[in-house]
Parts: sequence; C-alpha cells; structure tokens
Amino acid sequence: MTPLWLRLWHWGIAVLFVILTVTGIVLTYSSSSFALMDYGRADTWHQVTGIMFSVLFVGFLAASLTNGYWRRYQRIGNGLLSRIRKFASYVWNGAPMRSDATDEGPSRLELSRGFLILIQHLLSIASIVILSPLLIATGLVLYYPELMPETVAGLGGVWPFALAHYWAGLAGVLFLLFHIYIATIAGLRRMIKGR
Amino acid sequence: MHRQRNPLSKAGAQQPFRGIAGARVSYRKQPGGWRVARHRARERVMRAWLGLSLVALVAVILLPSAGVAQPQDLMKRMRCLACHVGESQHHLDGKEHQSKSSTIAMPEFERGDHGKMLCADCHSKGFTTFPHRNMKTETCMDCHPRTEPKEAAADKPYDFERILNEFEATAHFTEFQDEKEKCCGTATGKVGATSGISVVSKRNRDMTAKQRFTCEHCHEPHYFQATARIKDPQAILKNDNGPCLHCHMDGSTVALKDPAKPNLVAAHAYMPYAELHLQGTRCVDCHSSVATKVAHDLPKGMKAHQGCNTCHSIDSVLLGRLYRYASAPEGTAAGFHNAGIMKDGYVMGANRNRWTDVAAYLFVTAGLVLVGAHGGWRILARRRKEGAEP
Repeated sequence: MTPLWLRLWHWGIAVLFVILTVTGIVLTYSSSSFALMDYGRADTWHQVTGIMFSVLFVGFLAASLTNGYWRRYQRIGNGLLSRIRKFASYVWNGAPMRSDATDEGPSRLELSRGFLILIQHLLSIASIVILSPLLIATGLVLYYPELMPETVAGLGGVWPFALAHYWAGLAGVLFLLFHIYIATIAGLRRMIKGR
Repeated sequence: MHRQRNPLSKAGAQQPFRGIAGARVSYRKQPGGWRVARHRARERVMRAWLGLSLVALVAVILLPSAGVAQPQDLMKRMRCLACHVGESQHHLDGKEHQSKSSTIAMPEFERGDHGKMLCADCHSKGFTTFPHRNMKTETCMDCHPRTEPKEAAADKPYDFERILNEFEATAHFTEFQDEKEKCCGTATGKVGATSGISVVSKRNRDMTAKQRFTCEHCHEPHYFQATARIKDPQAILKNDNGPCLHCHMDGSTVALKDPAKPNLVAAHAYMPYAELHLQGTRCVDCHSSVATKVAHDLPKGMKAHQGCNTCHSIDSVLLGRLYRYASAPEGTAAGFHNAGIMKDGYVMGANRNRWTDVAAYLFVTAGLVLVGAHGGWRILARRRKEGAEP
C-alpha cells in the first residue's frame, strides 16, 4: 500500500519536475529571435518551481525519516544491482529452464518488463539519493551567483556550477523519459489508488 | 595635485611674486647689497631658462616619434593650455572639483579620439583673445560625417544622419530643446576624465536639466574614445555608463523621479538579479534599439525591455555590442560558445558548451531510440499475439 502523503508528494514533485524541465530547456536553448515561452517568465517559473521542488524534497526526507518509510527503499535497494544483472542476462540469453519443463517459459519481452521494473526501482532510489540533491545543490548555488568565486580557470566563476546543473538537468530529463515509459509497463494504479 | 594660484586673482596678488621655475625674487636688502642679490636672481633665472630650453629640445625631438602633436601644434596649443591645462588649475567659482571643464586633463585628452586636434579646430571663434568674447565652438555634426575618403570610410558605419534623427526623437532632445545651449562639456563636466564622475554635485546635475541637450553631453569631445579603440569590455562599460549615471544616478533630481522607485535597482526590479545586470551591462545595451550596433533611440522605461533572450541566447547581441572586441581563447578551446563574455561572468543561454550540447543530443536520442525500440517490440508482440488468437 502506498500512503496518500507519498502519492500526493509524488504527483506534486512530478508536476514541478516537468515545469523545471520545460523552463530549463527554454533558458538554455533560446535564440535571440525565438523562445518557446517568454524568457523572463521561464526564469521566474524556474526559480519558483525550483524552490518549491527543494522544499517538497526536504519535506519528503523529513517525513520518510520520521515515519520510517525510508526502510521501504532500503528493502528495495538490497541486492537490486545483482537482480538487474541477472534479469539483463535473462533478457539477453533467455531464462534458464529446468530440463523437465514442459512449457516455453516467459518470453523475452516479459523478461524485459521485469528488467525494466527493476530499472524503475533503481531510478527511484537514484533520483532520491543522487539526482535531486545534486539538482537542488547546484540550483541553489546558481540562485546566489554573487557568492561564487570571482574566476575559475581564468573565466567567470559561475561556469562549473552552471555545467554541473546542466548535466544534472540532462540526467533528470533522461530519468523523466525512462520513468514515464516504464510506468506504462508497471502501471500507474499504485501511484493513483495506492495498491 | 599641486595647484597654482592665478597671479591675476586677488589672493594671488598678495603672494610674493615668483619668477620662472619658482625662482623667488626679493627686493629687500640682502647682506652684501643689491648687486649680490640681483646677481643671484639673474643666475637662477638663467638656470631655469636653460632647463626649460633643454626640456623643449627633448620635446621637439621626441614628441613627433611618440605620435602626439607636432611641435608647431604644441606651440599653438600652449596658448590655450597656459590657462586651461591641469586637473584643477583654473577655477571659475573657486570650489574644489568644480572646474566646469575650463581645464583639460591632457593625458586623458591625448588618449581620446580628438587628442591630436588643436583647440582652435573646434573653439573656432572668440578664443584667441582674453577675456574670450563672441565665442563659437563647432559641434560634432559640423565635422561628422567627415568627407575625406579615409575618414569618410571610418565614419560610415556610424551613419550620423540616422543617429541624429534617432537622437532628436529622444526625451533627451525633445524635453530640453527650448532651453539654451551651453558650450560643450559645461553640462556634464569632465565625464571622460578619471576624476570627473564621482565628484559631480547635485547642483551640477540640476543645471544639466536646464540646458539644451547635445551630443557633447554624453560624448565629451575632449576625452571621447570610440569603443573600437577601448576594446576591453570593462573599460567600455565604465566609459559608456559614466555619462548616463552622471544624471541618472541614485538620488538624482532630474530623472527617476518616481518616489516608489528611488534608485536604479528599484527602477529595474522587474529584472531578475537587477543589481548584477546593472553592474555587468551598459545602460545603452537595453536602452537603445538592438536592431543596429550604434543606435541612439534611447527607449524609456519598459520600452527598453527588448526581451531577455536578445542577450541570453546562443546568438546573443552582446557579442555585437559590449563584447564586440572581446575574446577568451581558453574558453573557446574548452568548447564554450561566445566565450568572450566568460571573462566577466556567465550568461545563461549564451555560454552553452558545445560538448555538453553534443552529449545531450546523443543521450536524449539514445534514450528515445531505446524507448521507441522497446515500445515497438511491445506493439509487434501484441499484434502477433492477436493474429495468433483464433
């Protein structure tokens, strides 16, 4: 059973993440004559949703640590990489069959579904442990550019943090792509109805 | 800075008279009598003359090779510079730092675009006698655009006719066109000189508003340098913002009168990081049309907001304006677009990195291919299953 607070948090942060992705693309990939939306508005939205994202994430960490929900991730994470490796080999080589098996066993497509659900678990944990903290940390640093070092390697001091934020954002876009696709396999019911 | 008193002034008349090079000539009786005193005085005067002659000889030999005015030009200038040279030699109202441009800071003048010109080239009438009467000073448009082939080519990109038309449509011109025109530079003071900006009084700013606005109010002709000669963006920034801030600085009474927006940062609060934008860009980067490189149309208020992505973009207009002459080879080598800007900071949207861009295209494309391939596999499998069912 997925608790209501977690479902609400998940959909809240999902909406914010989509807004951050779209506005981030506008801020990075505009030309002087074309922008997907008003550049100034994109900047304001990116900052506001970024702060809301940070607050929601910190709230999630606090709630998980308080009510013990973090143990679920610990459970899922135990041996996850070895299970992923195992399912990857099943997808590649076919599932091992007992010699006296009568049916064909699971197809490779079904095995790949199991593999992708394990990837979904990995993505969820990675997004909480690595991706979100990295996005928030680099985003907060960019929010206070006046506190940056004057220069880094002879250039204005903002660029390493801007590049780090860009790479974290790119990882976030890939996360979003795979997360949404795998959700079409695993189903959305659990994150809507809770079971 | 050492200041000499004008010997014609009242205060100067009360001082003991000093001869050339400060040789003090005393007419009081000395021990040894008048003859000894006169002999010593004559000897000092002779030494001073010898010293001056030597300096003049060195100047005659060295100055032409240094690319400054020819000796004959120097002598022509000397007539004017005798009174009008120095940071604060000739005080009109006797107040500290209130020279009202009656003196010229020669090092800055000679560094300026008009540094090789003679005073009389512009101060053409009424200046050869003292006190000056019925004076006439040429204006910028009396000479520009110049007609000699080489000079005409240099002036052509500026399109002075268009500049004049744009300027005459601005509030600077229309609001003060019925006021009296003052001699060049008297309104703004020595804005190009290093000490000129910080010492401008409120009174001086108030006077500015009561004069007809001319080119010279911003482009102080004695010290003006075209950006093509300055090149360094930070120097261009300081040079070009100086005349604007001279009047539009915080606490000014002639502009930014809105009490709800008492200072520049408040007036630009609609902009994210207003203070950083004000520090890092020229006023004219927004307050002039981005359509041309040397626009003088000065749109007011929110009309100056020409879209953030005019600068925050891969084809940022900053590269054709403030950073036109800037480069940062180390940034370019590291793959950054528009790296010239990165010497001073990082402009989101303009300073993308081509390697991260390539990586982003590859990763996102690979992700879409994987998702598409698996999705296609699922669709095919479903169709096959549906086809196999009776």
